[in-house]
Amino acid sequence: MCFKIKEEEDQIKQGTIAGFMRKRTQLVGFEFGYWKHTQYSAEFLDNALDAIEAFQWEELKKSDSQIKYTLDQDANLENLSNLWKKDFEKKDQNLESDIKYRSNETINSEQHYRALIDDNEKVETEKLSKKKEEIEELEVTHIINDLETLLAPLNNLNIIDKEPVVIIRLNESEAHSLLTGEIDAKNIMSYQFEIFDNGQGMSKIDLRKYGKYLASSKSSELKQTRGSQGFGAPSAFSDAQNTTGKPVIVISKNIDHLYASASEFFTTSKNEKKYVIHPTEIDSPFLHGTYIKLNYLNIKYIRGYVDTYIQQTALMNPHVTLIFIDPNNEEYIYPRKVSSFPSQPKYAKPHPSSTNIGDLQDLLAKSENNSLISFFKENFVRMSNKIAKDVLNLAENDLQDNLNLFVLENGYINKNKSSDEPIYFIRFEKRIYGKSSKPRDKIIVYEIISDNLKRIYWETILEYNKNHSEIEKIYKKIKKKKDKIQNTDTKKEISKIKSEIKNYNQAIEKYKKEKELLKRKIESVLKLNNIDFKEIKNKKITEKYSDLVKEVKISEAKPESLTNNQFNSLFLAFKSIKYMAPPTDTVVPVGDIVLENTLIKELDLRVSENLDDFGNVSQKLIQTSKYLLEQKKELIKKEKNNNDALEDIKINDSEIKDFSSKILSSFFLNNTSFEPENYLKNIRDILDSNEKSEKVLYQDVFEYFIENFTREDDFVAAETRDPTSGKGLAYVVEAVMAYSNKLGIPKRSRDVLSRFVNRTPKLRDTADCAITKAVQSVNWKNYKLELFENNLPKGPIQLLVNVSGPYVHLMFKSQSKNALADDERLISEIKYCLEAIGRRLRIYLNRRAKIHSKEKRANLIEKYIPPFIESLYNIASKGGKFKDQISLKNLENLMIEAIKKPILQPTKSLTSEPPKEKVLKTEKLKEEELIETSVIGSVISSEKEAQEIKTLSVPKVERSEIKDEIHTTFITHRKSSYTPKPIKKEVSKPKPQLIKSKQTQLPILTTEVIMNALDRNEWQNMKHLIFKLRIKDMLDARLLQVKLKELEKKGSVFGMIQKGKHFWKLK
Amino acid sequence: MSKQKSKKEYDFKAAKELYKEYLEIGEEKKKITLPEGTVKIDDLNRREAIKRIHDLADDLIEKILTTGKPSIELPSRSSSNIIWDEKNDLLLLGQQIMQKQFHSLTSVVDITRLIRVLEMVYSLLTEDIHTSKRDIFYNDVKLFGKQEASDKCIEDVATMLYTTRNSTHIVANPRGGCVGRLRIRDKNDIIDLETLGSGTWQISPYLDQIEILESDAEFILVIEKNAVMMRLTEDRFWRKHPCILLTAQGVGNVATRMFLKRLNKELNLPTFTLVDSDPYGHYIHSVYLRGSKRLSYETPFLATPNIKLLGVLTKDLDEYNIPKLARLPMKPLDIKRAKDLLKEDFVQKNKKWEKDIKMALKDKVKAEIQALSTHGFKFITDEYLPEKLSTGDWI
Repeated sequence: MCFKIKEEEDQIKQGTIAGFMRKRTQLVGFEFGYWKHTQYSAEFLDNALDAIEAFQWEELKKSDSQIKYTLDQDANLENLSNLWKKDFEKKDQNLESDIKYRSNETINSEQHYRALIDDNEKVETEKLSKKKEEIEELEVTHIINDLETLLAPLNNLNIIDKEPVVIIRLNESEAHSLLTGEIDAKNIMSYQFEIFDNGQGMSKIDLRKYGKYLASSKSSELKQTRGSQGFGAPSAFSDAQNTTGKPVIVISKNIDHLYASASEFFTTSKNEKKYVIHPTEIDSPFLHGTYIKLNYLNIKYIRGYVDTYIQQTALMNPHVTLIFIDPNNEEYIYPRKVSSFPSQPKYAKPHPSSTNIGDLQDLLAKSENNSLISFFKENFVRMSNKIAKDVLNLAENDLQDNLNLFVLENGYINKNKSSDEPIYFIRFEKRIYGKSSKPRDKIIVYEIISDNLKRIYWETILEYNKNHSEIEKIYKKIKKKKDKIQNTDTKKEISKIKSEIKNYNQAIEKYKKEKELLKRKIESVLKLNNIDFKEIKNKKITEKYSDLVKEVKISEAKPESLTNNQFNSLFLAFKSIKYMAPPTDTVVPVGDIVLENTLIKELDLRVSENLDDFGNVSQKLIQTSKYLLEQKKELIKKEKNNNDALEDIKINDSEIKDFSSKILSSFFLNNTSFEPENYLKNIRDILDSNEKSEKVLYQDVFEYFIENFTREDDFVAAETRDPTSGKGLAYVVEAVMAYSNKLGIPKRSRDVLSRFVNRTPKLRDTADCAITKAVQSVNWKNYKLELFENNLPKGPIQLLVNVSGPYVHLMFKSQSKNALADDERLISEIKYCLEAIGRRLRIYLNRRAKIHSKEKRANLIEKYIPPFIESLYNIASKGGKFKDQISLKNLENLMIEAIKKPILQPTKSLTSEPPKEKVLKTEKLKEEELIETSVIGSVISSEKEAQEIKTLSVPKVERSEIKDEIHTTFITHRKSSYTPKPIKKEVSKPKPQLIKSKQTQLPILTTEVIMNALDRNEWQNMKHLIFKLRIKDMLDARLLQVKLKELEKKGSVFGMIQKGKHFWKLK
Repeated sequence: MSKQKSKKEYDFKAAKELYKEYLEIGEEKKKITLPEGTVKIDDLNRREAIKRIHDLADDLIEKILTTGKPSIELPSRSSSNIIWDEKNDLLLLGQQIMQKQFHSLTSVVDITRLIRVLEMVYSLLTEDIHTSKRDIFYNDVKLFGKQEASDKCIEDVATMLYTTRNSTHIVANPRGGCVGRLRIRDKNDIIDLETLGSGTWQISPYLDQIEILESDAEFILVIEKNAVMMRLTEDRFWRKHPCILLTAQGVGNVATRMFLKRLNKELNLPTFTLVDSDPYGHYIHSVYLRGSKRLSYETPFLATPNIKLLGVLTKDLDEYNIPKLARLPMKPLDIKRAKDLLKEDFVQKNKKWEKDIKMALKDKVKAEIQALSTHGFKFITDEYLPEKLSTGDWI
């Protein structure tokens, strides 16, 4: 009976978050459908990228890290493509063995794996355990083989530890009919998902937790990270198991461990892991990183989901190389495009404005601080000593009103509601009491008896109360006004109401001051009439007031033990103070230059920024002549050693002409479709036909040059806003837009806009997202773009918008993190950003339209030349003075030539400053300019026109010197820490051997040393050898591993794999 | 009332006085001296025209050889360049010059068309044949696109050469007819315009081949409508009242106007128009009087400045008791035309005319010539015209 009753009472049962989430994987995006494929990639790719970044940041902190990624050269991935193709056939074998494996695991029953988990003991009979060991052994080898084939191409290129890389492979196979039977959807296939990243890797302890719900490295602090809570990967594991019943394989190694740790496990609804293969140490083909393999069922893979996700990820994360191999064995390789990592975002302490009452309560409860001031300072950003004191003062004032006890300078006095209540004055006095014989502070309560004092007291209190109620009234009024604001539409009215509220607030301040003065009044009265007190010895009253005194003095309270009253007052005070906006160094944008360059590379845009490169023409002219003059001087110095002659040297126009036209024409030498000789001729023609002043002459040349050079240019513009904050957390908005006819006009509006949050692409719930709404709110017609029906811009464009910062974690609309919630500030921030880009787009489109109309004009006019000439010829050939002197062809040619000549326009003011925006732009492009100038140099120096270089009147200067000179003098020297484009010449340098070059310390691992260490009879693994060779450095160990494998391949040593570990001995 | 008037004998006193007046001052008026600031247009013979074309072509080729950018200059025919010569009562072309550049997108098509027309004119002149505007258009439909374009070019070419359109050997379609007391020679044929039966002589566009032999008419009457002309021919109006009748079926075309001009100049006869009592009728009269704006360059060769508007005037409608049924309300277009007319200098200077148009505008009423037939078909020949000519009731 008793048992039964108990059971009835226990109706509410405690579930677990794991149990809950397991059954609801759709909440995080794992429902059947195409998106599920994406979700798998998204979850693990996010983690992988976080891991890679974490690794690099960690290494960059060390001053002499030898294992950080080497980013200063292009990822040399041309040869990768064919390498994976080979293991295409292996897929089926894998499946076969998987099925074998499954049948071994007695999963014939419907609850295949649950049986395995729940009936632990039953399964692990002795019989099986023996068999299991063998299976485990086999399985581990299997896993390693798979991993090695996946990584083989990278290993062959020797970049696996140098290049930040993520590989995702998706294999497709027929699903077991047993598994698909319950699912209604058709076309269900089984998928094997593999992901490898050479990021941080996990330590063994972390690895034990990995895969459990809410186990996350990122949940404790709000940071600009991709993942945040630890829902993604566990949900993926759950879904994988739910659909296929196969365990998950994880191999991870961090830099501190010699061996990687491999495990195969199920996760349970109790949020625990059930290992099929316990963490086993294995030889890893990589120095650090993580590899995950799992199987899941889903409807058949189609393009446009995973591949899009990865492509977009690559756009926002150009610092990582991404490789995706889809079920059709097609490879998508996105090489790294920049040579630097983004800087590490800082952890942001919560800002008071983003803290709600629950947060504060939690923090207080956890606090170990002695005082509230130190508590505030430690836990919040923008909380100075003074502000913390202000908060406490406010709280104390509030408490005085609430508890009816005034704090005076030398004591306390109670605040009575009616005149007949006794008035108590409380103060600390040094008394000897208790067991101690020394005087100590003791609370003494006095009653005030003097009528005069009572009268004064009461008058003051009445006035005080009046003030107090006055304040209350004003607060009510303010509230009404605030309600009114929500109902008014016009800005004028709102600002009017706001100013009224401001007045009210001023009134409140006034009353508050008044209150304070009244308190002081009581104080002074009491001081004068010290005698009229009567000490109360009633213990009850004394105790009551000593408690109250403690409560009122909040500044002396301990944070962890606040009373309700205290907490409420504190929170009110905490919220009513205005704080500085949170710091913005917690956000790290991708950066506009990176975005632009990524898009240029990814979309293969043609963008030449020479407009800015050439800058002020007259200045260039001076520079050119200076340069030539110097050259000439040096020449003469060398020849004659005569300094007197130097004064008379002058540079004549023709020299400048020659020099400039050569440089300009050389720009096109890279472009095969262009005929530089024609171009050179044209430039010379302009120079010769124009006898005006030099400046005008050069203006013409440059204009002609620029028009020709930028005619086919595409447009790309990125804008990164300054960081701002919302909800107490910082965020930054950036966007980039490309406009190119190559792109074509997308039919669907969603192909135009790509949304990113913390660099992660968001493909779903487009219409719901604040980013989409912001894009729609821009008046794109202003910027010469058409619109889709849903107000998204339409045209041959690609628009990427990224919102970064810890702020976004608070803004996601759902756990699947696909859409940002609306926020006025956020939307307008995005809008400003896009408008800045729009303005640049408008300039570009206008310019292009101008060039096009010129071209169109020329074409149209040219069309009319033949009929015109024919008619004219028919008349003129029959009479007139030119009767016998003209030919049809000749006239026609003359007219065609006339069209092609540029129409010389009046020279613009040469001294005029370029618009500000341009200036900024120029600054950014300095680096590119340098590259281009180096091209000039190389062209001039290396082209066959060696003779022409002599006409520069610097015949004896080495070619490389000319190049350097151009660097330093012809184009203004500018510095920039950033290298958007890896310089090609560097790429062509012989590839440095990472390991050899870094092996600077003893022991020097030569083949000989290794061979000596190896034994003829005994099998030795890495650990043995490391001990033998006294290797202390992880890098050396890695080198040893590589060397051993090389030797094994050559056949000079024997190799053997046992339990995932390599063993070697001499032949 | 009409019956009373029909018994009256009309003496044509007013018309005869006008005739005498012309005889006195006629000789002086024949010589037109153009005011300063206007373009001088010459009627050219073939050889002169060919020479001008060659000059123009040489100029173009010279431009091509030097700059590669040919251009043509011609007097602007925009309304701002049309000047009313008050003394001679003519619309003339001012000296604004329009440049058609080949290397400008706006005029490249124009100049190509012009040169094409010029080429055709050149071959017409060298072969000494005539052709119509329509023929020119069909010669190069692709280039011209619409006949309006080629028509415009034809006029431009004439101004370009500073000559009349007739000199370019492009002629308008014959549309006008003439009948009455007149004898002419067309090439080798002598035609007596009294003996054409019920028909009329079609005014030939090749006016340079026509010679006016003799006439004993006392006045010339230009009629807007062919139907009215047929009525008068049927009545042998010129037998009773010696005159020459002309019609152009609407606005006078170049041939009709030129022929009228010649008749007026050579015979020195009082000339009248009989048009509908509506703004368009008044406009037709103004074209005979001063020339059209479009062909203002040729005005000296086309306009007949001493032509008088005989009827039907707005005031005639009341004076001759035209019933309300026969009067029509003015349409918006009519009102606009009337207002435009009132803006013209030559209308403003002629108070009678201005008054008449204002009257029509006030009542917003118009009527056709045929409205007179409400008093009987013979009313116009027997009463209306004789009475008006006798009393001098014209504008």
